[in-house]
Amino acid sequence: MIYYLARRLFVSALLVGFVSMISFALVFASGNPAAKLAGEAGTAADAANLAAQYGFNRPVTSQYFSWLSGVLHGDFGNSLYFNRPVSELLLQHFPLTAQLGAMAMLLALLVAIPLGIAAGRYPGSIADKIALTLASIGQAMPPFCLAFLFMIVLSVQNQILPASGFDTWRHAIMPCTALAIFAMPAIIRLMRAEMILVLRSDYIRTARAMGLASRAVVLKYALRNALRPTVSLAAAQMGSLLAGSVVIESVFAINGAGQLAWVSILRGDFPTIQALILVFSLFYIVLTLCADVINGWLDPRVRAQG
Amino acid sequence: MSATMTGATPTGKFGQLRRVLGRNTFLIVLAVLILAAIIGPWLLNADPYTQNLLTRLQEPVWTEDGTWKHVFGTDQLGRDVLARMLYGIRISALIGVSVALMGGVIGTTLGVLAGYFGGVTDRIISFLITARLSLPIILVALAVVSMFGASLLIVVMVLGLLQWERYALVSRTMAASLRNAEFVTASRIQGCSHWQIMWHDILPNLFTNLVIIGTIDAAMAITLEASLSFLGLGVPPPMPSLGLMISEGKENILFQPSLVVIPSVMLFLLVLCVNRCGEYLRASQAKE
Repeated sequence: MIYYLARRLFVSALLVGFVSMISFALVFASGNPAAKLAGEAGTAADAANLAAQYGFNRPVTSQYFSWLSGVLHGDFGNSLYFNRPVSELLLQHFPLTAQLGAMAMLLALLVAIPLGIAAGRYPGSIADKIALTLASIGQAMPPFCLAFLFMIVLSVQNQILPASGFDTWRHAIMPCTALAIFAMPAIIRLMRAEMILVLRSDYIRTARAMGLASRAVVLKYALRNALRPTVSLAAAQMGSLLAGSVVIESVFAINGAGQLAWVSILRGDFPTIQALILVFSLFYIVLTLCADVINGWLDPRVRAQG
Repeated sequence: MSATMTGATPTGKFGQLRRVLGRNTFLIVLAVLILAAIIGPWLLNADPYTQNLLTRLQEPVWTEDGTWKHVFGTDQLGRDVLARMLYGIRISALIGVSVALMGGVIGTTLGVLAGYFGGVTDRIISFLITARLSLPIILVALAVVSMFGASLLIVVMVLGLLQWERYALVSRTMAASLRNAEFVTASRIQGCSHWQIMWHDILPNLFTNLVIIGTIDAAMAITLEASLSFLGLGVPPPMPSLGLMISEGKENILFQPSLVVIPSVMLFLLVLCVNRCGEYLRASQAKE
């Protein structure tokens, strides 16, 4: 277990390094950032001044390492637009996005897991059909389209729920549901497939042959094994859910990290963009690492594979 | 598939027709949509760019104020919504196909190399796949498009360069399992080069699976393009992209919700059909 853990930690650390390089390099991919900052009216002298001010005239590697050492100390530089430390902005905006993501994920799991179990236990039944239809629809419906349809029915035509902001629990219903429906299909399908697979296995047949009640077999033995891949999937989904909130936050005018990312991109506020891409990636890496550790702890076979 | 399972099996000549239609519902709908997008604009004789402020914000035909002249109504600049929607399907289809092909080439190359050679090659490529998975695709795409300027070509390039991980994962697993298959060993004994083996022995065996992933990827690309265009960093206006139509329609969501609903439903239908066709392919492959 210690070897497995060390290995996974090492790979994750490498990943963080690689991802940090990419998020840093993104800014330089389009050429000279100083010229961009100076704008179309700026002269070459303006650009040179800005380059000196922000240190763009130094070699790229040296800029990267000074940025990285700042990041390791929690200093992402200053936002060009707000003229405030990016870390402050992150602390201000991230909790809302994390809250939205966590609530959406919880909702998705609460619906998808029981539905997936029911579907996998009785393939071809009504529950199965409902599960598969929901999965198909959820997979095909872009979250922002769904969000608008909700908004039209629930806020415009009937004033049941507020259309924008994120102040009370009533504000959270539509964005969370839209995101949850986006996350559900994969979980339903995986849960269903795993359940079918597990229920066919020898140890379940043995448990049944020994006279255990069907319910006990499903809940105690089958579920534990069928849930394992779902843990990995849920972690990965949570990561993409956070990034997917960019669109949903813009639809519902929620002032979270997704909205911050979008306006920063529009404003060309690259220290903020770099920080946000890095932080969203970090979330994904940490979440998948956690899932791997949980799975390694649950199942010795995973540890052996490394 | 589900349509044949629900009712009692229809018999007779008519029943047979119904069965075939039922099995291929989504394929037929998709074909009709694409066909409408290709020839529709000529038949309609409506231009998606012509503005007419006198006839702006007209309701669709099924409402009281609607006319047959503009079946789906007109938008805030008086442009015909139906014509824009048909052109929007063209753009979505173009993006879906080109991104799926581009991602397919990149992902399959990486995946086959990793699976076939294993060892260090596999480690490096697997690392690349994981790194790609951890990057938030929509944020990176937004950032890159904002730097290079929004255009159709840039959107296709960015999404194609970002979306290849599914091909890589599947072709890696399959190539690894085929590496020591008997027919591969036979080729190797005959003195075939690695390149020949990968090209002639391994790749043909991956083909069906790659096509299935292609449908998922095309659907993803269509959704992503719509999201990017919705956020103003995808296909630039006045091009008629479905995402852009939704974004422009949201200004008038209070007065004319159909401007948002029509492109949303079309996007849903398009992605649904592409997904279902992929699933049908998968099911028919599983039967073999």
